Amino acid sequence: MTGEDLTARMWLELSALAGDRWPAIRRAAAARIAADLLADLDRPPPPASRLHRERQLRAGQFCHREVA
Amino acid sequence: MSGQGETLRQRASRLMNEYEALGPRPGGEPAYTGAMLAYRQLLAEHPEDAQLHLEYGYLQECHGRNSIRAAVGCYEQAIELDPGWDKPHYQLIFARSALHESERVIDLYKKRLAAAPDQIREYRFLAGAYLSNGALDEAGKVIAAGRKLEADDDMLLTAEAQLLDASGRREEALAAWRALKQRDPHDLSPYFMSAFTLEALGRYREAAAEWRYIISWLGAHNDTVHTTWPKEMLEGIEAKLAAADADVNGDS
Repeated sequence: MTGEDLTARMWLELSALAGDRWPAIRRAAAARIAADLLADLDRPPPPASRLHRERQLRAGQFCHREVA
Repeated sequence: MSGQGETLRQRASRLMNEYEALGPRPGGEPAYTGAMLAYRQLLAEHPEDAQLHLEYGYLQECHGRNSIRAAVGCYEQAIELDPGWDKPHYQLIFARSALHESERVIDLYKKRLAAAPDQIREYRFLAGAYLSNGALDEAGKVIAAGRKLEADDDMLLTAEAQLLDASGRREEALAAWRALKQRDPHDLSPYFMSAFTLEALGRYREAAAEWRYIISWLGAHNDTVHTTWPKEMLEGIEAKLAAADADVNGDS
């Protein structure tokens, strides 16, 4: 059983136990998951990454317009 | 701005410069049309002129970029008019990525996720934005977070398969696509993805089988117009197979 399978099973059991309160619990859990994720993603990309290269490519579109 | 007595070459160059400067602004499109006509005539007369080919290519590249930017505007309008529709979001992600506007599209979908953290589609979009821009570590983090919320989401599983493939874990990607084929027989995406991965692995016979399945499925669903490109892909694979067989048989 994978971690994802376990999570899915746990959520299923939780939803059954929580009844009417489940949507609010799910929203709160989702808010925490997203907040942790976004905090992790908000670090600047390392110089060797593709995102860093994308910045250079975009700048290049404006710098290399000379045809001749 | 037209010069009196200018040569056709000078005219082509002037119009290209005007289009490059104006793009979609007033005057840009007539300059593009004029430049295209001038370059076609020049190339018919001087097909050996490398400089002309370069300029004609650059003109089309500029126009292509402006067309993609216009498409972005259309997708944004579609999203505004129908906020619940996923398709224009994916197209927007592809289009902005093609323009090397990764930060812009990623920021947009990060903000959307922050505003609606319980919506699984927002994880799908953000994962797609990172994947389209080759940011594999970040895509993996988004997929993992989304699967905490919905472990069994097909779109996140598809994104994970793409991530595995992009990371060079091709056998795992193929296994993921096999699983996805079972889940939705009407979704051809895992077949397309498998075909490319198998070709990259040099498993041409299996790749050809994927393309044949795609072609027959489209034919059976009255969508033969979309079989053109898969048929071309199949021909390419069959040519590689023939070349590989010739190598084995020692043909020159």
